[in-house]
Formats: sequence, structure tokens, C-alpha cells
Amino acid sequence: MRLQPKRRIALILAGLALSGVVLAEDLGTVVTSTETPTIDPAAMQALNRMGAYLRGLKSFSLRADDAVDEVLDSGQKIQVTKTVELQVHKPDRLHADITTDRKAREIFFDGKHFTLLEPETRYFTTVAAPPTIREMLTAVETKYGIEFPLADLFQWGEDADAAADIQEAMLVGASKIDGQLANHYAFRQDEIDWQIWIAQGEAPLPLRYVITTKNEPGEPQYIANLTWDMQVKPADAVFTFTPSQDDHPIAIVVQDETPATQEGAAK
Amino acid sequence: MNHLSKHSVVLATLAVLFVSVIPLDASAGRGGGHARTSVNRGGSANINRNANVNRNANVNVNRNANVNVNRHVDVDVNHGWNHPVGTAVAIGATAAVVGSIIYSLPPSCSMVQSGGVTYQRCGSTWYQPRYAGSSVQYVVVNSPY
Repeated sequence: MRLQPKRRIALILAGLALSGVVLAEDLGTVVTSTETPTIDPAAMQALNRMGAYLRGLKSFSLRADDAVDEVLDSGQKIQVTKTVELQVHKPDRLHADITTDRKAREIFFDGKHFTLLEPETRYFTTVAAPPTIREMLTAVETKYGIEFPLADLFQWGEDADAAADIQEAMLVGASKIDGQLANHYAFRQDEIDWQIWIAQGEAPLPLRYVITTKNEPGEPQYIANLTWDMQVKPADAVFTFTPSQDDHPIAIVVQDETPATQEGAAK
Repeated sequence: MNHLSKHSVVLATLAVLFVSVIPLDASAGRGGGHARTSVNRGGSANINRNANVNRNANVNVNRNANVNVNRHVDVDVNHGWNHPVGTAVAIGATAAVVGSIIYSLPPSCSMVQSGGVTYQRCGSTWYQPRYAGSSVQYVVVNSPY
């Protein structure tokens, strides 16, 4: 790796200050330990290629099995899992079946309305939504406090993605996910470390990703395994919710209003 | 629907025996950490995490039931998908104060739809279900009749 002189000195100083593991050898070569921040351009290219591919996808279905760590006050870590079946027609149609080990929900988005349905009780709420999936995700998260699963799939490759925040990037190596060859990459940012397994070949889809939250005690992790179905084009009907007599309308609490609402005042 | 008086007795008994509803304030409700689930949207998305503060945990009941679960209830009720909200809170804890919130209904409730609004009538207590985040919660309301 060729470094500008100033950069090289900075690296040496930083390395010495941290752990003294920098070996300055002959002029022109600096060998650093893995602790020295480096961005492998090939890793960034792979991420960009995946992002571009995702951005170009029109219709897809996928199943995601994920697990989230919750850290109790005691420091004890609890893992909870869920399965998300997602059907998407970009830019403005989405349907999700979400099944956790404790509850099930269905989400409908048809470019005009967002509906949240509890399939068991048939409680549903339908609210007006912005016209694209990406805007809708932001809106339901900030306004209603619904953390949308797999939101990254709609962010990678877009302007607002986190590539600019990446401080370190490397290729870990080739691996296999469910028999499919993938390249395993690892990235570091301020608050998170994350890894992604991107399918080799013509369709560079993310097959797995792991996020380690560094600024929470216990460094809880999130892992998602993705199974893509590029063959089935979801039918338009799945995106629109039409209530029957068995469906019961209920309200949804707006989260970003005044604290009075959040205190649970009767509405 | 015709068991009003019977449920009233049950509710009154429960009220005497168990109900010690403690509205947790925001700081008391603050729990442990939660893994970020998005590379791209993590930072700002966590701001509203503890928005649902008036949780009305029934301490007397829960302490005997399951301390760990109860503790976990304080974490991130609305934001995440996986919280066992109310699993420990529901044990006969019928707080009949209008505006108070529970996460699981007592047994033997009937769903009633009136004026486009969905209610659950549990004895003499009326609840209005609503979503808070992806969780369903039940707010005690006055009878619509």
C-alpha cells in the first residue's frame, strides 16, 4: 500500500501511541498491524456493487431469519428471534409477514397507505403514508416508533447510505452460506462494527449480515440470514389491505408528539 | 356480554387484593441496551425508544410471577419487535382508572365495535385497544354507552 508521506507519519505516530506495533522498515514501506485503520478499496467496491444491484431490483421476495440481543440492566444478554417474509415491488409496494417468538404482525404498503395488522385478533390500523418505500420506512419509524425490519435493504446503494461513515473495511474471505458461495466482508464505524456476506457471481445479494453495537454495554449483536426468491413476482393484491367484517380498526399512538400523549392520556 | 355483575365482583376483589398500579416515570423505565438492527439507520432511529412510559406494571403480582421478565419489560417497549410486554403484567391486574394502560386483557372480555371504534369490554371495564409501536396496548376508557 502506498501512502502519502504525511499520512504515513500520522500512521506511525498513531501506531506508536496506541500499541507500538507499527514496524517502520525501509523507506517507502510501512507495515502495520490490523489495528491500524485501513479501508480496503475492494471491500468498498463490493459494497457499492451490492448497493447498485439492490437499487436496480424491481420486484423480489425474501425470507429473513434474524436474532437480536437485548441486554438487561444486570448485563445479562437475551436473544430474541423473528422471521420476516417480505414481498416488494419498488418503489412503492411492500408486504411483510413478521413472526417473532411472541407475536405476529402483517404490514401492507401500497404507495398510499400503511397498514399494521395483528393476524390473530384482526386488529388493524391504517394510516396515510408517503409515496415510496424508503420515505414510508422513515415515517413509520419516527412517527409511530415502528422499527422496520430489514430497512438496510432499501438503504444500501442509495445516497443516504452509510458508506461515508465507514472507517475500516476488509475482506475476511470466501465462505458458503446455505451452499452458496459468498464473500465475507467486515466494516467498522463509530458506533458499530458490521459484517456482510455478499453472494459471489452475477447477483451480488446480501446473504447474511451482522451488526455489533459498540456503544451499548455488552455490545449486543443483530444477525440476519436472508433467503432470496428472485423468481416469484408478488401479485399486486398482496400490497393492499382491504378490511373485512372480521377486521377491527384501532388507533396507533403517534410517538413524536407531546409527552402528554406518551403518558398514556386517554384519547 | 351478560356477565357484567359477576365480573364486577371479580374486579372489585382483584382491586382490593392486588391492584397497586405504579406509573413508571421515564427514567425509572429506562432499561438496558438493544442491538442496532440497521447499518444505515441506526443512530437517529433510537431516539424514541422509551416513549411508552406509563406502563402500569403491577408490582405485587409481578414480583411473584417472574422477576426477570418483569425487569425486561422496562426495555424498549415500543420500538422493538420482540419484547415480552405484558406477559407478566396481565395476571388479574385490572386497573380500572380511565387512561391507564395494560398490555394483556383479563380473561372473558368481549369485543364491541361502536361508532367505528373497537372496544374490549371486560366486566364493567372498557378498554380501547391501540397500537403503540408494533405492540397492542389497552387503554381504560369510559363506557361508550
